[in-house]
Amino acid sequence: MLEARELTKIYGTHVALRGLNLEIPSGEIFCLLGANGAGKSTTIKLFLNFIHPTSGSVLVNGLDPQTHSSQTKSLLGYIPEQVTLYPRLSGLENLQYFANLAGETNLDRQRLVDALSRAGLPPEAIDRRVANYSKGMRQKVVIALSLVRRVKALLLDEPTSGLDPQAAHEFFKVLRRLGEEGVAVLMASHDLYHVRESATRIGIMRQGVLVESFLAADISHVDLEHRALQLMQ
Amino acid sequence: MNVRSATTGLRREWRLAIADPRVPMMLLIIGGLTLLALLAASQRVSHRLERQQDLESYNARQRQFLESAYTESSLTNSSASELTPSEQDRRLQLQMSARSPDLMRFTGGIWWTILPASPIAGLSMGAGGEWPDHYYHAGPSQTQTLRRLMRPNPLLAAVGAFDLTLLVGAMLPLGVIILTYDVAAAEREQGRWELVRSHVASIPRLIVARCLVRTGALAVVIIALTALCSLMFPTGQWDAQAMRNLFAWSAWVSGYVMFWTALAVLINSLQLSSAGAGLLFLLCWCFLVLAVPSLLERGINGAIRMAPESELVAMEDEVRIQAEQEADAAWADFQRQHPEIKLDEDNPQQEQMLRNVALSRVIQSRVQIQIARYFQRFVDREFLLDRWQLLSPLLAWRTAADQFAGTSLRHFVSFSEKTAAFHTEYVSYFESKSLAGEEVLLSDIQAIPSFDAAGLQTHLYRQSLLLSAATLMLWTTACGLLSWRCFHGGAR
Repeated sequence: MLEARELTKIYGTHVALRGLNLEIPSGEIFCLLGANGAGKSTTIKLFLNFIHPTSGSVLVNGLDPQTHSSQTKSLLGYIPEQVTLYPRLSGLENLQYFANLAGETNLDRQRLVDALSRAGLPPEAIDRRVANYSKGMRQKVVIALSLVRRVKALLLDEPTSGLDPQAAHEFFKVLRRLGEEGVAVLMASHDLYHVRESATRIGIMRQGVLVESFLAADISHVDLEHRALQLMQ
Repeated sequence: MNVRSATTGLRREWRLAIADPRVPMMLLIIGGLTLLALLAASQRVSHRLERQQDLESYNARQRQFLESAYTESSLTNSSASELTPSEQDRRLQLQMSARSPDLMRFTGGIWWTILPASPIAGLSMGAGGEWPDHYYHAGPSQTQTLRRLMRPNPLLAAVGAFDLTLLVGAMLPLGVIILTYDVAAAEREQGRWELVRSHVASIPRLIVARCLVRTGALAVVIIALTALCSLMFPTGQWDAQAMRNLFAWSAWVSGYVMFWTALAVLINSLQLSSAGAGLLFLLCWCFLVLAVPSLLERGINGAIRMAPESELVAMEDEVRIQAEQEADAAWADFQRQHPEIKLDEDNPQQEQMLRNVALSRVIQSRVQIQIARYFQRFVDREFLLDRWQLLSPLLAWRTAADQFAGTSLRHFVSFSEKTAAFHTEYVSYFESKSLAGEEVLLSDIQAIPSFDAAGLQTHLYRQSLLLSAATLMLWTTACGLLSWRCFHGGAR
């Protein structure tokens, strides 16, 4: 579903990403670990077509986001580190707005409410203004958006930073469910514990290079921490 | 992009816009100002219509006074007793003049006329309080017949009377600025930009839709309120021409708003901060709404100086003095032109009267030349304005609005020219009888030329309107092309 081939991104003289090769099939949760500036966010932005590669290519379901922008956007969901919605709209209205923005026009209220419930948003919060939402609640609105849109791949950029443990736990629970439903997930994160618990595969990046990639099931929590610290240095 | 998806997009953006407190607030403000402008305009038009009716009844009364010289039946004793002392004096004066073509020729105040307000005159005051007020037949004088002749500032672009044209021309763009300056910048500054970008197929379309719903709402409020209020005018005023003009006015409002929408899109495509975008937008407003019209006005005033009314009156006096010095030559010319005249040696007053006729003809012809030159300056100003309206969409808008409302400079000049021609026709009517030595009969009084001012406002000067439309299209297209270049030049 998500594929990177010899992907390189250079900003001026700074090499942000060097020769990345990556393939994430449907249903896989691939977590990228790495220090700040390792190239995790750059990778996600390349898939989202926010920036263009210097060389190499990215493919979403076999399509190049540069030449098939609309089609690839319709397949992708995105959850940024800081989720900011329209504060004067309710959770439901925000969901409706963004879904409509993505081309989903025939959405009845019940479908939107169901998606928000599945994402874990309390029913009493659905019609409340987003200005009063916590970060975790805002994230649930965006997850509901991916559910409504039935995206094929989800890109997440450090989604749990700033979340309390309970909210992070709930978030990864939903993420795992999405993976089980066949959504390909690419996530950049620093949360080693939850990454180990939820990911199918883990990649560690350093200075723009994917230095190691392994199955999450093959490594323990302690070993992952050691390996990550070692490789990130 | 098909119509359905465009409509869906606009509906979506409207739901978002209406949640922004600035939008309902601005719609209320603009709506309130529109109603205020329409109220002022309605009073102004009503006042003008009342004056028109007053003058018509005054003219009818003058006719009755004249006819009463031949038969008392046209003014019964009972109605005569209702006359005020001044009206009774006037009746006596006209009864004495009625049979003499010489006296009739020099008797002023028999016909008054006013440029009538068109049904949609309230849409634009044109020159504001400097509308041509009325025409008064004042015997031999022509420069004193048009009251309030001067227009100190024919552009009235920067500041002017509070009317719909000022509201749409200057205040509506301020509303557009307030509602659209941060359409893109706020998304970036509030951290939503990436989330929005990851969902939307086309950022330019999104920004266009956002700007369009906000500016469109402002335009709809103004046009709808204006149409509804105009329809509340007495139905007798309404005709197909007035409806067409109102429709065209609405189209021009839309065109003008489209320009500001295109400018909003351009500014939003520049990736500036909210403060930067707002400042740039305000600078554009200052330049296009304040600076360019003011500078142009100064330039036109310098290029074509308008003589004040007092200067015109002094000119007529000067012409009169000069003509009196050439009275003998004028009399000789007159005699050559009219060999049929046979002087009665027993009646020395006859020669004096004819000499006066000859003199007044010379004065009239020379004054007419001067007045024609004076009017020509108005026309020249209008042509200059037409040519330079390309410099600012505001000028294009004002030019068109004055045209549709029938309050443009050209309508004023047309009214002035027609009243001048009427003056000549009126004087000639009695002069021919005077030369023929005929007495004025009742049938002559009943056939006195009358002035028809109706229809003067409904004429549209197509060339000027085409230039106005071209100006709006040019500015809008230029902004659109620049936006396209910014969006597709990596500014996303």
